[in-house]
Order: sequence, then C-alpha cells, then structure tokens
Amino acid sequence: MRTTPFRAALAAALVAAPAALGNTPAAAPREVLPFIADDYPKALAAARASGKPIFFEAWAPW
Amino acid sequence: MRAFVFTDKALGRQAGRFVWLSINTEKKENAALLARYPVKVWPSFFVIDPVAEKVIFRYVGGATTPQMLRVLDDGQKAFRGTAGAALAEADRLYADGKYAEAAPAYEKALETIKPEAPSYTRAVESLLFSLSTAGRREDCAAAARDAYPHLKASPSAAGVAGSGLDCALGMKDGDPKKAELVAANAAFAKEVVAGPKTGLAADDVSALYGSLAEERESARDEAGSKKWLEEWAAYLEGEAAKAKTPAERTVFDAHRTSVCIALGQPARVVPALQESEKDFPGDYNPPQRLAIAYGAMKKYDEALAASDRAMALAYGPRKLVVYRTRVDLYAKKGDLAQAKKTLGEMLAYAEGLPKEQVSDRTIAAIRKQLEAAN
Repeated sequence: MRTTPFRAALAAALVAAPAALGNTPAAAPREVLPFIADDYPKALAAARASGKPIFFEAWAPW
Repeated sequence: MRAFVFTDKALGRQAGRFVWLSINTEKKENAALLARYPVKVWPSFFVIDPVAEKVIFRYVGGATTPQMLRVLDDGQKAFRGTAGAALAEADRLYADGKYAEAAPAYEKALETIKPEAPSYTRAVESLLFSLSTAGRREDCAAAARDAYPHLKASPSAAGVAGSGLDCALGMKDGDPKKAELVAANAAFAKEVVAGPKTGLAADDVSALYGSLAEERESARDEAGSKKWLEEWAAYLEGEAAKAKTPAERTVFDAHRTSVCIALGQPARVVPALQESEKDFPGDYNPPQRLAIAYGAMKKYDEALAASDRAMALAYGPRKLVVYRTRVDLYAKKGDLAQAKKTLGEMLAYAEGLPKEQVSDRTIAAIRKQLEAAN
C-alpha cells in the first residue's frame, strides 16, 4: 500500500507518479467482481436493498 | 490493480460480500460524488455504509490479492462493528481522513495487536501513512524500522521498508536521528530488492528502487544512484517481459518512461510505448509518454505529433498534464509564441473543469505563468 511516489527521478522526467504503477487502459481485462461502473445511485440502491456495504474503488486511467 | 488483482479468480468468491462500485475520478459526471467522497491518493478504496452514506473504512494505494482479501475482511468487520475497539476507533479516524488523530490511535491499537494477528499488517500500513501524511516523519521512519522485522516475509515488506525510507529521507538535514533511520530503512529496502519478489506488489518494489536511488542521490553518490536506476529499469523491463497480456505489460510504462529519462536513455522506452499505443488506440497515456520521451530526445516535432494524439484522447483533470507537456515542448523548441498560446488554452480548460477536479491553486499557478509570459 505504498503511497509515497519516488521523487527525484520522476520530477526530472515530468511524469506524474500516482501511488500505483499505472492502471488498465481502455480495453480492460475482464474483472471477476461485479463492479457497477460510475453509477453511485444504482450502487446505493442495490446496497440498501441487500443490506450490504458498498466497496468503492476510486481509480483514474493513468 | 485492475490488470492484476481484480482479474484474479481468487477474488471471485468475494462477490457476494459487497455491492461493488468503481468510479473513474477523471470523468466530469463523477465530480459531485468526489465532493462527498474526496480522493487524494490513487487508487483509493472505501467501504461505505449505504444508509448513512458515510465512509467507514479506507485503504489507499495498490495491493496484492492477499492484501486485498485482508482489506475486504477488515472492511466488512468495520461495517458489522466487529473489529476490536481500539483498531475500530483508529480506522474510523482514518476513514474520516483525520490522519493526525488516526496516528496516535493506531499507535495505541498496536500496543495490543500481536505481529502474528491478521490485522497487524494493515494497522502498521495505516499507521505509516497517517504518520507520513501528518508530517511525523521521524516517528514514521522509526515505526517502519520497528515493524519491518515482523513483516519481512509478508507481502507488505516492500511497502513498509519503502515508506520508512521515504519518511527518513524526508527528515530535516541535520536531524541527529536522520542518518541512523535512513541507514536502517535503506538496509531493509536493499534486503527486499535482493530477495525473492514473489508475492510483492510490483508498485511497491518499483517505488523501492526509486527510494534507493534517491538515498544515494541525497548522499551525493551519483554513481550509486545511477546503479539503482539501472537496476530499477531492468526490474521494470523484466516484469513487463513476463506480462501475460498487453494490459499487464502497459502498467509498467509510466515508471519505465521516468527511469529511462532519468538515466538519460529516453530512446530505450520508445518501442514499448509504441507497442502500447498500438495495443490501446483509445488511451491517451502511450502517446503522452511518447511525447515526453521524444521531448527528452530533443525530437520536438515527433513529440508534438504524439502530443496531438494524446490531446485528442485525454479528458478530465489529467488533460492538464498533456497541456503542460505541450507548453514545455514548445518552450524547449524555442517557439515561445506557441508556448504562450498553449498556456492560454490550458488556463481556459482548467477554468472549465468542475471545482472538485481542479484546485484554485492550480488555476492561479497557470494564470501566474501566463502573466509572466506576457
């Protein structure tokens, strides 16, 4: 769960460093979990109906 | 994470435990949601109570599959209220983003959590992040030094050693404890990169090489720093070569680009970026990285052509990075008129973003640079 980006080398290279190496691009491989994409109201309704908590993944296409 | 962890069949059995929501923080339509659930680190994972609409558990940064399974267990305990009282209180403060208060709460919780307990690792990781974010770098470096021997055989070894080393390097020069804490955590970091890396998150290992290079740089040992950069590049190239899919391979592109440029060898990464652009024609990242690499090679026309392709695909706040690269490319090419024009376009774009996606400070900095160019 390392979150401190390495600094000196990257600063020189003008490449912003997220916590993780990078993320999956547009053509993502199939995920094994039934993620609802970008629809909080739908997830909220499903969670309230089922009594389950929401597992919320915040990501960016870096 | 998306290429390696959420595609792992071992996680499939967890599907019924939560309602799963993924939010692309770059999308304009998600800006209002980010005002409710602010994100400062990518990736971030929250467990949300759907009745109170409140974050009750937080985890930041990458994870391996075993680490993610632990996160899911702990997140569910937080929802059910079955975690130990001291850890639950620390997790509550952490979930609220109150890191200065979460740090002592984790310190207190860890007084009663034995290293072999399932929650020990995550409590240590959360403590280190809280201490670092709260600016308590000496305490962070000391906590990592003390915890590492218990975690050296775990998936968290690289992250703990790296966090400790980064905290130690961030201490003020002249602090009498700095040298000792840097040396201790650097020794752990070297132990991790010299050992078997199976089960470690590639993010953590990659960042560890960077920290080791920085440690040598801070000691003004240029040759030593370069040695670590070379090892770092070789590690990333080796991991990319082992990737089973283009998606697994391309996650290494960002760090490879940075390291190759830091080594003064930008051409070294160009074939990989070209391959990624071919494999993912809808992704702005490969041409954006190509623009940076070509720029480092002083091939400004190729760089600007790649930047054109990136600009056509980019969206959200990260598009500002594409603008920034273009400004730099024009400036280095000596075309100051185009650099200024691009800065103006960048300012207009930033001002048009939802306020949740761009800070006033960022807009002010662009405006100041534009005024200086006039």
